[in-house]
Amino acid sequence: VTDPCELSLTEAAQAIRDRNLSSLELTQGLLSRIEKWQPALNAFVRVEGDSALAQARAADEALGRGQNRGPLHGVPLAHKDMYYYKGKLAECGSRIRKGWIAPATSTAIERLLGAGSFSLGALHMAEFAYGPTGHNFHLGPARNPWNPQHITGGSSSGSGAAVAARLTPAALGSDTGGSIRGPAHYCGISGLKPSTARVSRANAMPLSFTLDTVGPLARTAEDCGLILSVIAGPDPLDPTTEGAPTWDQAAASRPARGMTVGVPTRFYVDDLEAEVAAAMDATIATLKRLGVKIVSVDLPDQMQVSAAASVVIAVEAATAHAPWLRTRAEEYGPQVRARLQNGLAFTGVQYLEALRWRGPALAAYLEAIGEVDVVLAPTIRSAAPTITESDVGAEPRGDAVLGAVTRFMRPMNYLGLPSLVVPAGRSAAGLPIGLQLMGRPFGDETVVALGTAFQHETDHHKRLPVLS
Amino acid sequence: MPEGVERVLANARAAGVTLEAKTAERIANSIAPIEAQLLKTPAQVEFEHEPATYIVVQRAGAKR
Repeated sequence: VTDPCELSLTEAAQAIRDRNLSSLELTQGLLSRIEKWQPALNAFVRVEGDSALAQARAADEALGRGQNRGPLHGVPLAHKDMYYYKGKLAECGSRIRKGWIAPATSTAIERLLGAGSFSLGALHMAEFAYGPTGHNFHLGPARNPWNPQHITGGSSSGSGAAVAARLTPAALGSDTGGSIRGPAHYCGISGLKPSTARVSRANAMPLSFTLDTVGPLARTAEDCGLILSVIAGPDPLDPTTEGAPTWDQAAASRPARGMTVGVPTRFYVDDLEAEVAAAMDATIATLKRLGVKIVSVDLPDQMQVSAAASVVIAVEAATAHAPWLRTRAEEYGPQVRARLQNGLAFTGVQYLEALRWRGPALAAYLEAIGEVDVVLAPTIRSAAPTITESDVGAEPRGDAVLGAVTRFMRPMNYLGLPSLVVPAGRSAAGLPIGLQLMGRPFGDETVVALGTAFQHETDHHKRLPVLS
Repeated sequence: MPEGVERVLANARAAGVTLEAKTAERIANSIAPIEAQLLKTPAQVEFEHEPATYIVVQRAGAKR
């Protein structure tokens, strides 16, 4: 590889550490690509070029003095515009937070900065992270690097587009109902929704207090593991992380041989486009070659799980937004306003029934999968639709369109399980298809290990979109 | 006015948000399939169960 922008995060960090690549060269290369691709993709909401170049020079000078700040020393990264940096804008894809300056820095960002990375800028997102397609009423849609007429998925739309187009080696997204995994699937990259309680959400914009997760989008499963190794672990500012395990790199590097992978017999295999079904079949064959044992799993009713997730998200989002729904409702885009209003309609009993069922639902799921390490499932039933056909605004048909996008992803949020999307095929039109590797509780390292082994055997993650 | 719409209007009013009737009707139609699914859950949950029990199940289910 001669273009440093085409290196994976792991490779770029290693090359800088070994002084085979300077942080300045990488940063200049990325800024040059951003300038070229941004008009076509709308992936960034802010680019911090001068600041990034200054920090790249400082990183190179520090390394010259023998000072290595950590595993991401000298690596520029851009993140979804919902991660707060003290004293900087965080507009959350919205009009309501236009011009809002964050009073504190997100724990996840603090840890990435502490590991030696620095900011390239902020990325496009769905308004308040409440939309799975990549449309944004205020900012216009983010566009898919594989074909700008198609959606990126959302809500981490800019993260998906920017990583796929090699404008940043990796990006934080957030996943409450599929917002990391959808863009990873549609944009042909890897994306990890971590286990509930694994990564602090402190000073990141909330959508659903119960179901929000913070995680990476990157080229490879290994890159996702590298980001998790930096950001995972307890944080006093997010009490849900107390007692959660820290990253176990040995577990994330284990071989696939001897693992057991479950393939669902229903729900996840219903109504798939033929190309997605073919990707499932091909992936099962690859996993068998890796020495993985494949078994069928008969999961409990996942439609019910998905419905419970919908109630929790709707009510918690409406609660967080209630002050603005009372006084500034006209400042939301029509679709986000309509979805937030839905959450006002559920009763307290319905919300608590949905919340109370979470433990029993997880217990039933775990009983169904037995000793299985990872369940293989599609992410979404098809490759990316066009921006036009998925632009449903607040129309009644929107429920069906948006529901089809999130259908296979919401259960993992409700059950709190880790799920890694890896590129696994492409459609006849050349658009990417990704599959989910869904782990056990706190089994983030296992899905990364399996994803890494899969990517050593395949080259879907190496394909590169070309700007025409 | 259908019962579901009246309930949506009342719940929104209780939250301090005023909705138009047509908005309430849209919401009632939108959430009806979710409510139907949710009705299946209460019978599956033990009387003594409380939400934080999820954490116990999560930690017990870990196999790393």
